[in-house]
Amino acid sequence: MPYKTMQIKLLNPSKSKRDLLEDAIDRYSTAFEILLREIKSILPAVLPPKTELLKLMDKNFFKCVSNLGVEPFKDALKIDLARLLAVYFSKKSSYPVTRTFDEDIMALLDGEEKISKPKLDAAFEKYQKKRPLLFCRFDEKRDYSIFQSEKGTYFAKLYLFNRKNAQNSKRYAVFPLDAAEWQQKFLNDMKSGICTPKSAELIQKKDEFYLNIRFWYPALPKHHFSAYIGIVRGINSDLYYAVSLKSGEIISTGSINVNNIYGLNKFHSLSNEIIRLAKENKAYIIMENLSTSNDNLKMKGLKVPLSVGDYNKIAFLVSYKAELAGLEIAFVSANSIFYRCTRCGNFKRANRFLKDKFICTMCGHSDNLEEIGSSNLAKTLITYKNNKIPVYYKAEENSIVFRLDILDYEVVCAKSLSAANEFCERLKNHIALNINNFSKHQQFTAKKLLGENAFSKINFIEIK
Amino acid sequence: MVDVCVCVGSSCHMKGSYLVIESLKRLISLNNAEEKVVLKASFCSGNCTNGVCMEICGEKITNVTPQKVESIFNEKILPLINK
Amino acid sequence: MNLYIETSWGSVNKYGEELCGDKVEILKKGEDTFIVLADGLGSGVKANILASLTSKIAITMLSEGAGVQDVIETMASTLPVCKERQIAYSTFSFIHIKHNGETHLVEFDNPDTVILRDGKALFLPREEYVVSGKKIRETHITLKPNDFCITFSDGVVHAGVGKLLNLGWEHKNVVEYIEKSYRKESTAFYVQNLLLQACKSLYMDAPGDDTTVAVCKIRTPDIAYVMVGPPLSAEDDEKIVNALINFNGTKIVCGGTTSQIVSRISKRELQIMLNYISPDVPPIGRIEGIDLVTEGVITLGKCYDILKRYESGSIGRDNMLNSKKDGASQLAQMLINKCTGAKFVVGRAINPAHQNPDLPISLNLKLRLVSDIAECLKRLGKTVEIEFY
Repeated sequence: MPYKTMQIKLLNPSKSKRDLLEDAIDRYSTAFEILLREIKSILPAVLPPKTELLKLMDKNFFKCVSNLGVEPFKDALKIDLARLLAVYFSKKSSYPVTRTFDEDIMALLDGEEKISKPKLDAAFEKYQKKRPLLFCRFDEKRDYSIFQSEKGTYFAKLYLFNRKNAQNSKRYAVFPLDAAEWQQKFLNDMKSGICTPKSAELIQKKDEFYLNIRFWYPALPKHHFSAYIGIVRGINSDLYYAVSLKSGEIISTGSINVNNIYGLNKFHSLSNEIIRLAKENKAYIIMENLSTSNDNLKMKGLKVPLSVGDYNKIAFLVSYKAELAGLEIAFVSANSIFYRCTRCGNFKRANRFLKDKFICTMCGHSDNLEEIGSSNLAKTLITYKNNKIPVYYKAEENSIVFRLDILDYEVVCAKSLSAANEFCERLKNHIALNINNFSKHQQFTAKKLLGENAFSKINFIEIK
Repeated sequence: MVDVCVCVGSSCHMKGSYLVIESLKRLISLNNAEEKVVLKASFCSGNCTNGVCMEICGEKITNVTPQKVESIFNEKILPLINK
Repeated sequence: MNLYIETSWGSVNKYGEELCGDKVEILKKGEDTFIVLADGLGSGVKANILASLTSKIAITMLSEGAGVQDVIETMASTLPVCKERQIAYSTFSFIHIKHNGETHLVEFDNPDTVILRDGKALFLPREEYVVSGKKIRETHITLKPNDFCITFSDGVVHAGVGKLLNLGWEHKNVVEYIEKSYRKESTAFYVQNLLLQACKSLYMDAPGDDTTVAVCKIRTPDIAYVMVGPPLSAEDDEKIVNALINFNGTKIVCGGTTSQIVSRISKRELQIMLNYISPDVPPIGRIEGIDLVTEGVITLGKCYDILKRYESGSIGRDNMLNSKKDGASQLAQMLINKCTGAKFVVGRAINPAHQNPDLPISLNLKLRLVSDIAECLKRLGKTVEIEFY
């Protein structure tokens, strides 16, 4: 469930409005602490389930704060308390204190002979401490909501009062919001239904008031993809990518690099760029699975900009961003990607040359190592996830030669329009007669080809 | 023992000795007759125009096609197995 | 012992040039093998002329026994001087290998020749001296069976310049690649072709210079006696079969009737293997003492297809030379990897069945196939003989 939080400032509230807000926060914080102390005596030894806990906080329970006018915050207080208590139970530390009052300070000072400094400091630190005012749901009739005027200004409608202290017989107040470009994006998403606002918190920082609003972005239905993008660790740049069509043809490659930004920000930048490229190419994202094995990129004397740990962190970011963007992503083994020939499949380590180059010792194909690695990664799912089995064919003068490598099967058929059908029939016969002699790997493929739709499961590829 | 011999010379091969042999192997296995039938191949029995050529216990059979194998098996070989 | 020197060479022209500025001459005279690789100054027609003259003069004189000094002086006075550059110039490497492996190597301005033994490059101590203003490097070494002698032009050393590699491939890296891709059963052709493929790839199919590779593989001679088809006259049967049985080399029989004849005369049983590896290739047979027994025409046809594929240089996934075990593949493997040459003994008896117009096989087809295969083997560096009966 991807949540995003947006902080937005209340725009220049008037003095009276400030007073209202400050007062609301104050009342909320006080009520919270009082309730916290009140519930201590009736808490069981073990954390009860949430419903039980909430049942404890009944009308009687709230009597102790009846003079604070916190009726509009009742639900919020309950949930807030429950959360804090859950943390307390799990941490098993001392009972939490969120605010100290004048009485507490006085009690301390009047009390013991010698007061320890830490105790005093703690007490003062919590003195009249403001707690974020929780609005537990987005609702036009209670808690909080956001709306836009005709002129386009955004406003927050906050229910802060009970019947007694209602302002102009209204139990809410309206505050214009300071929406900059990046907040506009969230608000627009909310308007168009892409995301849903959930809870919010009112906080005060020095003289300014802010609303922290949690938006829920449901994972989008997966986009249809027409290509694969493989992203590997780079040698001359942070990352390197290759985009492959479903046929295996590589249509573009390139480096992904971010300078002058470090740490988590850099990882965010890189992951954003990956998402952008994937969207641009309508591609299924393939990244290396470096948690269980290595990609063997690093060699003696070769410096690789990103460590395995860095790559894994970026991968984690990409995986949740991909979900938000409706993109598919898979993590595959990167074992031999940097020494497997993209032309002939030969995978000897000796194919690596001069640390960042590649020359195949079987067919002579040469390339930069980054191209080889990213191409291999991008095409990983094509060989074994794609249902179609490759059959190579070559047209001779009067015949066509078909070859199915996996089963070591080669056949010559008369050159005619039904050659492929003839091939399928003979292949099926061959399989039916020899299936018991096949290796497990071969049997897997063979079984796919028995049956009615053998033809549709074959990808005929011409060799010139 | 029932001796079955199929010619795999050039002409007979082109007329489908492979399928004939594979069919025979399958039929022998289906009838659990591996112990009773000896399947052999030979190079050219000298009757190339009438391929595919087979010999069952000395009896020569010509013009065998992959389609005819099963009926030939049932007619000629099965009785010999069940004797 | 008389060693067989298997040779093969190939070239890739500089991009845009019709004529190659490198030239290789190979001459086998008696039991000696002579190889010359010349790289003409510049490119195109001029370079081609320089290189051709150099290699021709060198190979002719050397094979006649002339000394290095004479050869160079002749070249100096013969080569046309380039009008622009005022010099007549071509590099050269001479290699003379005797039947016992004694090798004499003379190089001028070409990249160092590489001698490979058991997959490792040998260090060759070279003597340097000057003849007619040219700095010559000379070495003597005795080569052993399975040694490779690999010589190449500058184009190989510079492969990739401006493209994948800043400094080009560089000689030491070329040697490293040769060692890395070494396989004991490689033929001279295979090694030469693989190096050229790598160069082509490094140059991204646009070579910046003429690129040439010439390879010799030292081998113990192993001729294949290949008996194809029954002799026209039955009286010759015994003669040919005895020659086959007593032959000192690899023994191959192709043909159904043919193998029956061999079996009858040698009094050894002919067994046919029932397991079809490839349904389109007839099964192979077995006769004690014979290395390979196959069916005739169909197998030969498929073998020729395999040889053509091997020759076209599509090495890698398209070249399944070493992996399959059917009759045609085994025949191809034997002729290429195992043997240094072949002696085809072709019988001209006509099989009446083959005259059937329905069947696309005939005696002519068989004869044509044998000669096609022979030509292909010759191009791959093998010695071939054909006898008809």
